[in-house]
Amino acid sequence: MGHRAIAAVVVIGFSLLVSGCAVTQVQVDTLAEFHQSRPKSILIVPVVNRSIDIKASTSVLTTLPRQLGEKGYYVFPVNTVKALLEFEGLSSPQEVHNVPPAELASLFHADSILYVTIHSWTSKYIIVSTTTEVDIEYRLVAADGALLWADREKLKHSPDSHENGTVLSTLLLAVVESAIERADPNYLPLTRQANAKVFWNVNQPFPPGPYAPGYFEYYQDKP
Amino acid sequence: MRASLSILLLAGLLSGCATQGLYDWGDYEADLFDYYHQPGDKERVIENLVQHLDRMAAKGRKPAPGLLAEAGTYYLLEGDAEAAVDFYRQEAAAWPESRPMMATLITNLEAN
Repeated sequence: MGHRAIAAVVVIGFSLLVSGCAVTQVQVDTLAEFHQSRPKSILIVPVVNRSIDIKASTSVLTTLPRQLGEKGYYVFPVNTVKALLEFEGLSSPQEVHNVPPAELASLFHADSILYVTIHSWTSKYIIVSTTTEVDIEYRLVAADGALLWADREKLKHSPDSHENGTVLSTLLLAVVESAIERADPNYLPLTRQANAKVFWNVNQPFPPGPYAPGYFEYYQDKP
Repeated sequence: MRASLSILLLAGLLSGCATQGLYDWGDYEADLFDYYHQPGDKERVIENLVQHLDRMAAKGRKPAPGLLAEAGTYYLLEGDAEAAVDFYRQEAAAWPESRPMMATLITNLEAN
């Protein structure tokens, strides 16, 4: 085995490693399925929460309708959906995620279903500030089960720092704010930030829905 | 002076842009979050949403998708099926996509 062969093995091994990493990060490279499916409505089902923070899932659930409604989609009312699913005997989010998409879609006559999983949500208290780190996965699936779009977002959030004021008052403010953040982390700003990064990402633009002003132009050149 | 005026103007323009979207969502996000975690706030949350929907109707603006149905569900979970059906009908009238789901809810409620 010459140098070249060894180099080839190394390259292959390396690319396997790299692709191995890529697999854990769910990504859709092409929007072809999305464009073909052209969903008009999105059913956001209850959020699966793998963290121990019970408010993490409700903060994600309550901030998604606006995000997607403003993209031009009809978004099924999340609390009404949750109530109806509970009447149907599906009381845990994991149970809902396990139902075949076609079944869920037909129950609501939805064009697509958004599944969100919170992989982690941790708040760390370090001297005078609390940092919350989250890891959230989003998957949009068509009524027939085809994956239309996916993203996974990891981000950190800390309360705003205070640049004005004396060192002492800044320190005091930070301590007070950190205590508040620890008692009740600032859920909604954090999840809004995560959602915005996902749905308004310029590198992976989420297509507009039928109520968005740019909808017809967007689909004009799509097959 | 002129600089500060233009900064004010710019800030005004920017904040104007920030609030302009397809819909006015009122306090929907924060209120629903409160509804889940502060059971004592339920009455206030329901009242606030109904007032928001009244304001939208008075302005002739279409409410954001789902908000009429959410008001219906708040009433339903308080035991007021009649008010729930009324809001579900309004959601169905405003949003064709919601009609099958609203029909299911209305049929179930009227059967009981």
